[in-house]
Amino acid sequence: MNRRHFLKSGAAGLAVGAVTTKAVNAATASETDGPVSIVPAGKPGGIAIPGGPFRPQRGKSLDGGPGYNDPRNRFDGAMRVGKDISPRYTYKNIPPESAVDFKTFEIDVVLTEHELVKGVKMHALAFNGQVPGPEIRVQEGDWVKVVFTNKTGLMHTIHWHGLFSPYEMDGVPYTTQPPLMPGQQFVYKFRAAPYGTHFYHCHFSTPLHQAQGMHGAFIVESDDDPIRRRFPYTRDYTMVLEAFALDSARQGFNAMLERMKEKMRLMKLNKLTKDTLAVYRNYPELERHIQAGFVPPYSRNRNQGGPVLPNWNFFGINGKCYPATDPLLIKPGEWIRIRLINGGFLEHYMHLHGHDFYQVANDGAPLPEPVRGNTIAVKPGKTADIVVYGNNPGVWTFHDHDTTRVTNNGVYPGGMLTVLEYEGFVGGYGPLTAIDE
Amino acid sequence: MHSKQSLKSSAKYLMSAGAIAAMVYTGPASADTGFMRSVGTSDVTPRVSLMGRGIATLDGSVGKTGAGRTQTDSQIDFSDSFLDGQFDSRLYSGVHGGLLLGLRFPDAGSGVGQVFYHQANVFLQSQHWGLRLGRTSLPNYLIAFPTLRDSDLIAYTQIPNALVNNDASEYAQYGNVVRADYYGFHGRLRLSGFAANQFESSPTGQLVDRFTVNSGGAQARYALVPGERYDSWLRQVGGEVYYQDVRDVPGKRREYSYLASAIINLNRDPSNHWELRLQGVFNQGAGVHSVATVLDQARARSQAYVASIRNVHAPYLVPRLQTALTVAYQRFSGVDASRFSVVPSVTYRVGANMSLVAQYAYTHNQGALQVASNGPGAGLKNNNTVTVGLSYSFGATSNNYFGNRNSLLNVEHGYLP
Repeated sequence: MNRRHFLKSGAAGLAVGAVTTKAVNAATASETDGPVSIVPAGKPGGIAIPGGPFRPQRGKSLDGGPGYNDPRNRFDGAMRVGKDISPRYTYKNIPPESAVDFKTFEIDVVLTEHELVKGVKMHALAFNGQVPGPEIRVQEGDWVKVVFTNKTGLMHTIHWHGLFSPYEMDGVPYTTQPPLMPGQQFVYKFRAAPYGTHFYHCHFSTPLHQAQGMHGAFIVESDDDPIRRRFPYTRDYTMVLEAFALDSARQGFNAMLERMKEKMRLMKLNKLTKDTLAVYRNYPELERHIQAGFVPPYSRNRNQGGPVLPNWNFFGINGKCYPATDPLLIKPGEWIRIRLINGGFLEHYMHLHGHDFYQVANDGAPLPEPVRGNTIAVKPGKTADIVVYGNNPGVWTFHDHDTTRVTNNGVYPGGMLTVLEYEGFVGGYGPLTAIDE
Repeated sequence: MHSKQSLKSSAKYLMSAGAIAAMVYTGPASADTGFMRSVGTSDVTPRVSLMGRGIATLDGSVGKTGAGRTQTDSQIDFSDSFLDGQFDSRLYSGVHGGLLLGLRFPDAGSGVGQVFYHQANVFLQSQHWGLRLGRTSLPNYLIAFPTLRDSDLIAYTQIPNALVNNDASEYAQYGNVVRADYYGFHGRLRLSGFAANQFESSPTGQLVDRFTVNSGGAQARYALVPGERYDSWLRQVGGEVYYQDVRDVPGKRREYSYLASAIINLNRDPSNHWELRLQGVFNQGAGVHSVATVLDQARARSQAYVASIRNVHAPYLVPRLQTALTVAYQRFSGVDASRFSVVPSVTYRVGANMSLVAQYAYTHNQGALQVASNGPGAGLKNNNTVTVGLSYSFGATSNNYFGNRNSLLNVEHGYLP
């Protein structure tokens, strides 16, 4: 999957998708099929849950979800042994692969070196070896299958941020699934909805894993794109905004790698316990273990303030720090769409020079009325779509207006800075690359 | 003579004034004085690591001489407590460079003084090589044994210093060293070459001011990096050849010693870990057939063997209780002398950094060692020492802006200096 989506033609977004009103009608019909044993997920904001509420088929026994009475589960479902830990469910909502055409994506995660800018490399957890992870782009209503393989010595999941995935596909360790141990595989299946700009990220040890590379864009397109109807954009850019704390990440990785080696050894020896895994059935059980002598890792007797708190010292767009960031290209008279995704844990205030833009979507949902401005706050976990009209030829900086984030290791300019560049523009001053002002 | 001294004093005064002036010019926080002033004051704050251990024990011993007389002794012992400070930086090329300074408290009655400066060296280090220059540990051993103090079985565990007739352990453990290392095979293989100036003394034990290189050698060691310590049953294996300059011995020039050691994981259970440590030292000697003094013992032909079995109980993967049994045996050739020691020890961790410690040490001297004039257990047939106390150890690092060469990230996932 080519990460350099900047140069993709906008035509790709116009491809007819698999969503039809038929799918929506199917959802409506399933919700009225006789008495239900669980409360339906409902229709928040008038948006139908694709495929209807997630519930088991009548007459068929459940097989192997986390927490179920499956001999492959350990510690009340905190761990599942075997290579493929996907639930082999028989829920009505997930059709067999023989019945529908699943859009299949093979994603793995490795621990590798990543160059932020020439002269600065860091260790990163990288989906398919890249930071951010590969962009997944599907049509609304498509059935999506992601085969996720853990090729690191740490534990992971994938959470589909903003997507209406079924409960067991949500990717939250110890809540919806056991995490993937080293070498394990999990198959995520869900129907792509709702339309809009979303993303995916690891939800295990999230402060470290997500920040340090395990995030990527998930775009759900529609053949009836309401935003393109109003703003006929011809280019579609994705900008994943990131913050990196290299020193705390390095220490965190080293500590985790060592601890995971110990846990894997204990697992091989059948000596892994709830206390060494630090996962309990519920809070009262944790309380009982503490009363029995277990000193929890957050206790100040064991840990005075965390191994180290993040000191964010590098800031990136799509895995790169200025001057290694890619420009956004535009032509006079052209509309372009820019999908801003905050894949990190700081708030960023993206400011575009020389233009106003329109915010047209918030967390993927089209705004009833676009909001005009030149600076937009993108908080952690949020996405914001803006459209820009090419009416002012030049080379225009587009950057975080908290300019402490426009730095590399405290040196300005750097970090979260790119440019909107008019193709073929020749001006009175030719832009240069400055790295120390 | 008087005018020369005056000039010397004046010159010293001027130099001091100049140094002070330079420091005022460049700013109080800068050490940039003298020749490098012209390239600016772009100092990088170093990574600072403070490491230390305080061990304080009540020691009581009962020994018997060869004649059957009983000797008793007791003391409050805080020897081997130390404080080290390391300051290092990542250099322009990505190599790491730094400084290690340290002091420790020597054995009571050793005559070394109140404090001994055991580390004062400067080093460079990269993924595949290292260089260290200055005062540091002599490379005359390959593994440490789980006794409460490093020097508890020093007669067996280290190649003895054949140049000093003083049983202060510091003179056997430390010296001025230049050492070069090569690291390979994912940091597990280390090949070292070194030259050293060991402490020298007169036959009466007074240190002499001679600072030339008087020893050297080479080591080869294979060891799992600390994060991989449970990955294999073979945790460490190594060998060494070591020479000492013994020109004062008639007809002799050098004394060679050979060392081999291993650490074996008896199991690979991080919550209840058993390991075996083994070391053998073969000392070729310098043709001396006496063990009357520590100098004679170091210059006599001898073989020493040490073995320890150690268990670390770590519920919740936090080390809580360490128990160890160490046995050691040494015999001398050409003289009727041998000795052995048995040392069980217990360390119970009462919380972060802090432990209760206890140890029993039994030593039996055979033959001429029963009438030795200095050294461990000198003049005794056997000795029993009970030690109980407290230990506090810590390591704290600030400005930790680069990783260690042998970290798991750097060893297994690509080296980033």
